[in-house]
Amino acid sequence: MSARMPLKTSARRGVRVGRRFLRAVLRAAHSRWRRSIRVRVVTTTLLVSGVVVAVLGVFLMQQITNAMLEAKERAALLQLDQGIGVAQGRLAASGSSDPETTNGKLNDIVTMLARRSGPSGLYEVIILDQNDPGSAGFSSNSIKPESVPPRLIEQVDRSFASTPYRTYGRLTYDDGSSMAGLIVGTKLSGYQLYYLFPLTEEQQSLAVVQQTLFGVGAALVLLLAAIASLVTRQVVIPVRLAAQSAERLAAGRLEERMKVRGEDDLARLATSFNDMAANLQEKIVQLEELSNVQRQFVSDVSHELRTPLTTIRIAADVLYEAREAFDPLSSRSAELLQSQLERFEGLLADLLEISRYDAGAATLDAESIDVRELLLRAVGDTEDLAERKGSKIIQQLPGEATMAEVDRRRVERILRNLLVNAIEHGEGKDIIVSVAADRDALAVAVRDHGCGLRPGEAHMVFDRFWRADPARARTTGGTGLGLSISKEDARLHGGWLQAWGEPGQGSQFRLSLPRIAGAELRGSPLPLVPPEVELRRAPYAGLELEADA
Amino acid sequence: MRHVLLAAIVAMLLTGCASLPSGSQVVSGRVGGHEQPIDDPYVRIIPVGPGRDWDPKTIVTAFRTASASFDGPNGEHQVARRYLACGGCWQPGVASIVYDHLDLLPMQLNGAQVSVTVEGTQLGRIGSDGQYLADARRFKQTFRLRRDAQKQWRITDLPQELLLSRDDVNRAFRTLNLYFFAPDAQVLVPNPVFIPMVSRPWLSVQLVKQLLGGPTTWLSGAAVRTGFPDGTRLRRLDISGGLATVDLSRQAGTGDLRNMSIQLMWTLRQLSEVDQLKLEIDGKPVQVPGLNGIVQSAGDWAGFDPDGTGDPPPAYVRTDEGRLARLDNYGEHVLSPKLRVAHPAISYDGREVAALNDAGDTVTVTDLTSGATRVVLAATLKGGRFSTPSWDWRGNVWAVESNAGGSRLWEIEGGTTTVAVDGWTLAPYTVKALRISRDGNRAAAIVQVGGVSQVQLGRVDRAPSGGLQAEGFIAISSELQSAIDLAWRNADHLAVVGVTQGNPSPLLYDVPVSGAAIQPMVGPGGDINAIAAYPGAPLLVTQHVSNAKPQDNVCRLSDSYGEWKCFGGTSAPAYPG
Repeated sequence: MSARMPLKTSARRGVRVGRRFLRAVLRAAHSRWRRSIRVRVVTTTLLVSGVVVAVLGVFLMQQITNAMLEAKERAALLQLDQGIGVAQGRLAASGSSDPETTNGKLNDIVTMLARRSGPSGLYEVIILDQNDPGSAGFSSNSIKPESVPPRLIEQVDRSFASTPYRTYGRLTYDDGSSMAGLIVGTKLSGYQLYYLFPLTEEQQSLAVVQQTLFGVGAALVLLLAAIASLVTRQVVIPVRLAAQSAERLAAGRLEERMKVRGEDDLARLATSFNDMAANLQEKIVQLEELSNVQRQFVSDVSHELRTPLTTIRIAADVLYEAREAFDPLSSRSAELLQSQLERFEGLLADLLEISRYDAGAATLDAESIDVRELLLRAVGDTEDLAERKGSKIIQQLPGEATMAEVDRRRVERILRNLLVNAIEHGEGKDIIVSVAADRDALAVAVRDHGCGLRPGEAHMVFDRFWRADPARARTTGGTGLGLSISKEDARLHGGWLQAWGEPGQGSQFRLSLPRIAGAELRGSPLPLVPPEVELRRAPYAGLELEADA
Repeated sequence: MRHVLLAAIVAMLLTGCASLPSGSQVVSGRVGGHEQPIDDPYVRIIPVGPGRDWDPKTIVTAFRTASASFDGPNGEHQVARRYLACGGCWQPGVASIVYDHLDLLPMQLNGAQVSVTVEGTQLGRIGSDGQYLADARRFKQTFRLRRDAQKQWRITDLPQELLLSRDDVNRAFRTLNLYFFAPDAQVLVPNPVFIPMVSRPWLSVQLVKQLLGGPTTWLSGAAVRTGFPDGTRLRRLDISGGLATVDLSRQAGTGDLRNMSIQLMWTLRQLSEVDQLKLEIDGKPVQVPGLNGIVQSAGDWAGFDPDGTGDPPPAYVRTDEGRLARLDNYGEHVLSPKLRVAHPAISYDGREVAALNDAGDTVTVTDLTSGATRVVLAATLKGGRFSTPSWDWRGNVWAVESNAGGSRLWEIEGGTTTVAVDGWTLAPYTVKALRISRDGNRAAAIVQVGGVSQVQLGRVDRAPSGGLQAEGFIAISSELQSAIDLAWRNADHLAVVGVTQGNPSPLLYDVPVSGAAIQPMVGPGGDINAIAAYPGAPLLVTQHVSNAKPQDNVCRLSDSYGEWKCFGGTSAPAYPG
């Protein structure tokens, strides 16, 4: 038992290994089949030509067999005819019907007929005699009388004299050997004469033919497969080269070109591919140049505007300082000028920042800072605005320091933008700011309870100059670029800035940052959707489903 | 060959240029192999068992027919035994009565038992060792039958021999020679035996077994020697691809390997499937001294041919002036004008001639090179006449002297010393002719027995007392009614001029010494009264033409056309021997 168990398990393991190996082979074959045109073409050619050759071979074999057997049958019947002549002559020789004499005659007939068969044993002869007790007739050489099938004996027995019958059967010999044979027989004035032809020669010839056919067929199939392989190879190799070139092109190596050889279809493919690549390269370079020009333009415009703006600013400051001396209308104008100039300056600063990002000139100036501190500073900056709006900023901060390698200026800007945004859309309700951190990441979520966001707007909020309500005028100093810049800032840290909102539920913005600069962010410690909304949504969803049903 | 051709044809068919050759080189059509009468197809009777409710006479007839079949793996008459009440009680072997004609006498009832008697003419008997003995006479055999539990008649008592017709024997048996050595010379003596044709493999095994078993009782009296030590058995005989592997038991290790190989090779080469021989003892191949390799071929022992080797010798005749002449294709050439001979006999070396005087009562031996003639023997019996003398291989002349009441046999050793043969069993009979075989161990004679001239075969050897004896004469054919002259065609066949039943004029017959069926041969016509033969040489006969000018002509069988060519005015043809 104990000896058999390991055997069994090892056998099972063997089976498992075998199955795994088989599966691996199948999988490899399948993948090769899917990936390689050549494998597919060669396999298909092999299959199709194999089937055709097999069908042809079977057909040819049948034809040859039929022809051979037909010739054999004809020869056999002729032989039988001749045998009948000899036998009848011998039987008619003298009229004595003494069984001794007839036996002698039958014996002589079989001897004579068998002697004609020659030493190579072309056939055997059997004469059946039902009149003599003690003997059923005579047979030549070592053939067994049972070789004549009973169905043939019956048929011959019922027939008229000299009608020959033939059938195929198994000839058995004394030494126990047996072989397929053709048996012809006829009635012969009270006796039955049978010729038994062993089909040894035919069988051997057919075996040789079969072997030859097998060989030729296999060679033919292999030849076809080789041709198919060669042809596909000629087609596939340029295609593969083209695929490689296209891959390299896609990877950005726009100078990649194919080699053009000759003037055939494949050369045309290479030429048109190269044309396409050249055009693409040209267009891409053009677009790049255009984009650079635009970026440069924005940057230049911003810079150019700055100098006159400074002058205007100084003048406006003078006007603003002296507004008490003006009449009320002028005084109001000076105030307006002052406030709009501030906005203009902000806009200009944001435009410069954005153009820096676009030019790829933004750099991360990371240092290890307690993010809570940054948040407190941002809250401090925006507290006035919140008070004015009637909102209260509620902070949910962790007790211990939340250190992270971040760019102080940028993160502060993000937080300030988020807070300003929340205050602006908070409709005077509470704003909740929460900070959380885990081993790899930290998150800051800013939640307001304003009108919220419509479906699809969660992504659009980060677009440049996007407004939730285009009809609504700007009341606060937002430039329309704040969230865009914040998003770029977050991305520069390798972090995420995401928005969630539902109409009537308010919205939440979440900033997630890796704690180590440059590390990849895998998840956020805070949920994007506020937990209370998530909790409330579930039963409603269930009710809705029920209502639907 | 055929297959290769067929394959080529198929290949051509496949390649689309099918054609059969309509012309080619002329090649030899020989298939190879030597053909022997043993290779002729054989015929077997299909035996059937007893039918339901057959009467005793039918049972006996059917049993006789079925028993002519040697069916079963060892030829043990399996089907015929079904007619017997006790199938295992009957052990006939090959012992047989060969009959010419058989009649069923009316059956006799003794209570529950029925006797059926058959009566017929016997031609001869085959002994249990396969030796044939011609013995023409009437015979009677009785079968007793009884009903068995199923109320069927079954044979309870029957003769222990088989009852076979001549046809049955021809069909069921093959005669093959066993070869033994003559007692004092390296010459092989054939010993023909009848072996039933059960199957080809069985036949070859049986042949070797009988060879190991020794000569038949008839020939063993002639003290022929065998190379096989007593108790040697056949362990295995395997014949494939022309090579016969004979594996003998351990006892053969003490025998003379050379002699055993010679006997085996000469015996087995009668089968066409054997060309080579490999001798093994106790499973291990043995190397025969004087041969290279363990495989022996038939050619290695060709020198032991019982028929002698070399080209056929010239033929000799007596011209009408009584001179000895050599016969060639163009006619006769007188050897010595002075020499006059009657019934000449030439020695095997062709140097000496033994002859009779015209009266036939003196034997002379003449040296052909010197021409010296000496009288070696004169008749001793009253009115005794010699028949044609005969030479053996050792250079001895044998002559038989007979008168109406008896005969004497003389041996002239070396052609000089005359010895009377003491043990001459044909002494009470008139012997018309006697020819000694080449090996000098057998004598074929025409013996006058009860008004019939029988062909008999006897053995010649030395009696334990040291004297020569010629005895054990047996008739070898019952078909020949009367014989006129005879000659050895080869070691186991005689050519006989004789008369058979229904043919009153003398014809030529080929008579196997085995006792197998005789075959008539086409003669030249006329009254044939003398014959000469030699292995491989054309037959010579003397034809007596009795037209306007009666004369004797020697006729020779032309070897190319089977025609006879006659040479006018010659007689007493002779070959050496």
